[in-house]
Amino acid sequence: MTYFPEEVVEHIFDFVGSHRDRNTVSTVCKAWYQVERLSRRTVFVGNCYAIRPERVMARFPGIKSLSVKGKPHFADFNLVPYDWGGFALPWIEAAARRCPGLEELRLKRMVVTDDGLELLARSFPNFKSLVLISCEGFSTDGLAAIATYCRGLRELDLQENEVEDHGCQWLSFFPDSCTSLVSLNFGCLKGEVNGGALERLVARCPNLRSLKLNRAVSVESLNKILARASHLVDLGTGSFAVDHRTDAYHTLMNSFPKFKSLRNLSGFWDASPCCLRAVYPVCTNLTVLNLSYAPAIQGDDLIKIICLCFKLQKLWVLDSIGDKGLAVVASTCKELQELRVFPCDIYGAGTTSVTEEGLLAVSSGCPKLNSLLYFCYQMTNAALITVAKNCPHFTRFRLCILDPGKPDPVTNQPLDEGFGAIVRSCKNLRRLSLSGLLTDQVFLYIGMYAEHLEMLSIAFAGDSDKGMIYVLNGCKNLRKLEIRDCPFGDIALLKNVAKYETMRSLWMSSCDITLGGCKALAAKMPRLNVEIINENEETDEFEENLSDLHKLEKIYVYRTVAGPRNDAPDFVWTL
Amino acid sequence: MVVTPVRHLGDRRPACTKAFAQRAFSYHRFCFHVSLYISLPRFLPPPQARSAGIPSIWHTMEAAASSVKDGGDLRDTELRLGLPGTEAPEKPAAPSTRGSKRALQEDDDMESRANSRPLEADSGEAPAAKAQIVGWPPIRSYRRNSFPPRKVESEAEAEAEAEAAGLYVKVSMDGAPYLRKIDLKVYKGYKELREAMDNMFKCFTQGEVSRKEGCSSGSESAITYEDKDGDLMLVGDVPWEMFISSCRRLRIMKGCEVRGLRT
Repeated sequence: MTYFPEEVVEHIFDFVGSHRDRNTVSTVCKAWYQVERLSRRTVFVGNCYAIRPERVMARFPGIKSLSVKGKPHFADFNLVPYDWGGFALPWIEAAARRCPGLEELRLKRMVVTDDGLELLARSFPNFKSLVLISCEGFSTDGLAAIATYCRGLRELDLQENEVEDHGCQWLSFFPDSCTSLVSLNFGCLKGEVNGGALERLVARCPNLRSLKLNRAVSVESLNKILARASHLVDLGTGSFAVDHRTDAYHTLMNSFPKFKSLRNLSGFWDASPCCLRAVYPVCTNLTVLNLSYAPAIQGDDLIKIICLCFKLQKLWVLDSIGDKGLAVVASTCKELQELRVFPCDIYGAGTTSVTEEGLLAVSSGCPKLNSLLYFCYQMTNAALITVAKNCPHFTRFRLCILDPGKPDPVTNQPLDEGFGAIVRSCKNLRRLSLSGLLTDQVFLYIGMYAEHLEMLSIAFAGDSDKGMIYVLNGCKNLRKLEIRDCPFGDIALLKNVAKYETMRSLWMSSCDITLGGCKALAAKMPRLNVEIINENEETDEFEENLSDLHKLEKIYVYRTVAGPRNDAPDFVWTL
Repeated sequence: MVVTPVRHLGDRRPACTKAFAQRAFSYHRFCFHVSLYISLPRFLPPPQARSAGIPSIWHTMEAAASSVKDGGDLRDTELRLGLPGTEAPEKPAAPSTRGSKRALQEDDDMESRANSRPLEADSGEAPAAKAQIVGWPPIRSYRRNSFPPRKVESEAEAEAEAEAAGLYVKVSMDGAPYLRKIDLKVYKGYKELREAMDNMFKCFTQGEVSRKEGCSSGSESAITYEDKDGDLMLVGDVPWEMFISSCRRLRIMKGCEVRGLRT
């Protein structure tokens, strides 16, 4: 292969798509490394602190698409302090200096500022797509900068970000010459947007296929938008609440039949059952339906709409659907691949909305099911064993029993056997989240059988260090391990230190790790950053006096070639 | 019942959470740490797990709690959030990520364990009173914040709570040096309300009569109220139930101003 001219090698590499394959290809020899790095167009950085941005840009000067992730996953649940880090600006600056051809930027769980957004908007003349997921630190002013300077912008996708509202005018900053938008998602914005500007923008973008409105967009406004955007494939409806005696309601009822291409529906924040009827005409073509933000739609109305959606592949609902509703899903949605059932009542009144029965029904009725996120109040081993038998194709299995440490209510046993059956049966399982009462036994099963497991989330589980050791010794492909409130200590932490260099990161909070254990880990493994997150203000003074036996509340360990980070706040100590 | 989780004092989160933090935790930070400590459920082994194999972490906690039980009631010395004279609600304070178990153990071992006892008793019977664990259930903050704390169905529960709490509104009288507060729920109608208010402000009206030289209609007064839109309305126009739901404060107007309102 090395005797081929570079152009040929490069052409062959064009067919090598995935990051992993390209990474492997680049390690074969220097020549291939060179060809690969110059022809690489997409780079994915799973941990923004694993490598310095300048190094990435220097190695891959031709990148068009960059994807970076910042905070650990548990930041989603308020376990990581607000100013821990994950700043996007260094990445934007480095790209602006070295890679002006950048067209796409995708950031997840990072702190993005308005200055960063403005720099981004001004630095990349061909910029086409900005996707921000679970980010924070910016306001609508930053969005205005993007709208103003990104000529030819195709995609602005804001998912679940914390955006400060500085007014509704940012949409008006899209110039009249902007006609290139394909995807616009501002569902997470809390404030109003300028309705007229929005309607005009939609009207002048003939390629618009995905539009997700925020809650502040009224039905009246939605009607006007729908009148102009009949080629939409993906729609987030805004509040979708209007009195059924108004003209707006009648217009809404007649708006949907013309949408022949509509496949995804979401939004529905304040939707009432009578408004929901408006979308019945398009249900038969839907592949994705997200009703998980519509608490006013109860079980029976959910059933009415689901009965029509027989092509559905992805369904996100609240647990008000009930086991009865899930049985309807099972009998109707034979193409279903992903199901997410979220709790209506997060604060645990203990009402049994969905149980193991619902999951059983879906597992036996939907043979293509491969991704599950299921919040429920109880689960049995028997049900899990049956689910494992019915659905051996799970790649993502996340079960959250809302009561931590709850055993099988029928047998009073831990759920070890149930989850054991899942990992044994689902050979392609990549992501697993455990809950309920669990002993070390479940980890033995996971270590033995979960060969392709890449991400494991554990909470309130295990009896001893052995549990964590089983996982670290097994699970060849483990990349991310996150643990909270488990009795794992230093022995487990230090048993297999080499493992951590094969993984992206390890998070442990409220376990039995001590300062001494972390010091030992940091000493043995210089290419890991062992971060201790210490939020107790009083111990700042006692820093020198902390004994090695001092138990640590939160640690975050990750492999890196960048050394300890220089933007760590006071409460983060890198050993 | 539910308290929005707050990260820590003085953080740069949106104003509403910060204001809430400042309001709720204007007490001594020590108190804050104590109440935070009660909210950690590792000290509440679930009843079912007590007989089955409990994770070791819960063993030690349970042992600790039971040893305190024998040590006597430490409620007198416990630190709480709450006005003096009121029984602290068994609801947990907002959990926060600031506050380390280690510091608490050193400083307020006994008090916090005493606090955990009442919650332990409750957790088996009333799931609604369960302590809030930080970051549990694992739902993204974005989703949490999209929902109001209560479901639509538990409106009745909310109403019941409001009923029990009473509907206290301020009552001011023109010229009186201080205001009063009355519970509107106690009265069945306008007549009872007027009588009660006359009684309350009796001591002031006598003095008032002599000062009204400038007005021809001596001791005339009218009861007005401020409704939820902020407008000044005359009491008695709307049905009693509607009045109760919209009244925010009461004002007894006297003399010359009253004539303006009546015409």
